[in-house]
Amino acid sequence: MDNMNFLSRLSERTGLPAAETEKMVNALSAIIAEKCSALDCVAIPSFGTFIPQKHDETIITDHTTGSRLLLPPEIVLTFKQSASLRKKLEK
Amino acid sequence: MNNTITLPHLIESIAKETGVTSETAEKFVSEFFDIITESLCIDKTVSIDGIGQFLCLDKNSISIQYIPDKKIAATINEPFAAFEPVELADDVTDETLCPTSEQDTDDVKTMPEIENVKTNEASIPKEDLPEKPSDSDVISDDRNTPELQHNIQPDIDLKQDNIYINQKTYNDDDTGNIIYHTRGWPIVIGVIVGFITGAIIGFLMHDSINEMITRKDVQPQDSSITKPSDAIDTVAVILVNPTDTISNAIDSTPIPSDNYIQATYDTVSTNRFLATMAREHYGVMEFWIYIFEENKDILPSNPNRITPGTRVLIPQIDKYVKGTDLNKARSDAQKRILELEQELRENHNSR
Repeated sequence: MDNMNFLSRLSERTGLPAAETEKMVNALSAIIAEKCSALDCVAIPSFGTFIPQKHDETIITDHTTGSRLLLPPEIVLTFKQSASLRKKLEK
Repeated sequence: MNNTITLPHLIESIAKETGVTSETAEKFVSEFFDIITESLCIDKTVSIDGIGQFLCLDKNSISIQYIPDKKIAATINEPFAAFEPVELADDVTDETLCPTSEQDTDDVKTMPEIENVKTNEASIPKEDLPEKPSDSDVISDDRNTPELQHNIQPDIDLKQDNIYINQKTYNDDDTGNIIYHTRGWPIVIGVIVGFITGAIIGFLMHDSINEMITRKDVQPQDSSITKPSDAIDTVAVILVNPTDTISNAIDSTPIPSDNYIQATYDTVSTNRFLATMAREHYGVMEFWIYIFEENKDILPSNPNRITPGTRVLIPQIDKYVKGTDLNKARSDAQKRILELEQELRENHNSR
């Protein structure tokens, strides 16, 4: 399912106009981004948890050339599905 | 940091951000993730702009892979967005790059490099720089050497009344010396000195203090007539002239009223009878009859049966004794005593 189908289906299910639905999706995205940038997790019941993970700076070595690269630290957003979602997928 | 945002908090944030009601936001969030779940069950993949892509690894897999959207990934990684990968030179080792294991790179406060200390020191106002302590416990005296002044990194913790300054000085061999400078000792010393001074003053003046205290307890012994006070429940103080006994009063000299101190009350005891009181208060033993007659209401009819502890009023002698002739007064008193004895005899015979 792509984004357009998703939004149309969501608009149909919630009864909101398409523009309003898109606005609320953007707001949800912004809130998740804001919380996760502060290294807070966002837990959705029966779905899963969005977990930000901070990776420290690392040195990687290119074995072919022998050069070493210092990678800066970064925060990566990950997702951990819940057990109920796993059960639904099993069905 | 490291908090978990729950669904109600998320709903509240969405409602506040978009201006919709909480019920609408709750329904939206519920449908949002329900549609994703249904799509994963049917299509095995769903892509949402601003969130990312959820996809099952294969048809039969129940594990979901999440690929965040570029926009949300950039927003989340914004604190570190300015950093770029750097190619290291061959002489740069891991020990040079990586600090000690105790230091946490997540911590905001990082130890500045040595060459940056000069700028840090320049940014600190002069009044905040540590003073030269005179009474502090200085471990190292190398603070004032020119090459080490640049290495001083004051960590000033300003509190209301005390300024505690911790200094770390680094010698050439990177040994750290910690100097603590406090300003609380003069207050303690002042309190101790004040206490000692007060104790010395109290010791030197304790005689005068005792004298002031005892002066309050001394009752004035005045030989002149004192007016009787109704509130005083005491025995008559003194007999003015103890030599003015009955024998001296035998002669017909008039009775000077000044010799009699007027007391208010007295108490009968096993060795203190009405006659004793009369002799003490009036100077004439026979005047006990007047004390008896004054307290007839509370005393038994027989004056020989007065209970010890009975409190009697000592009347003014002017009430019963008229004139100034002592002999006449005594004889009148004796007559009254004889009358009383006669009366007691008659009462005893009539029973």
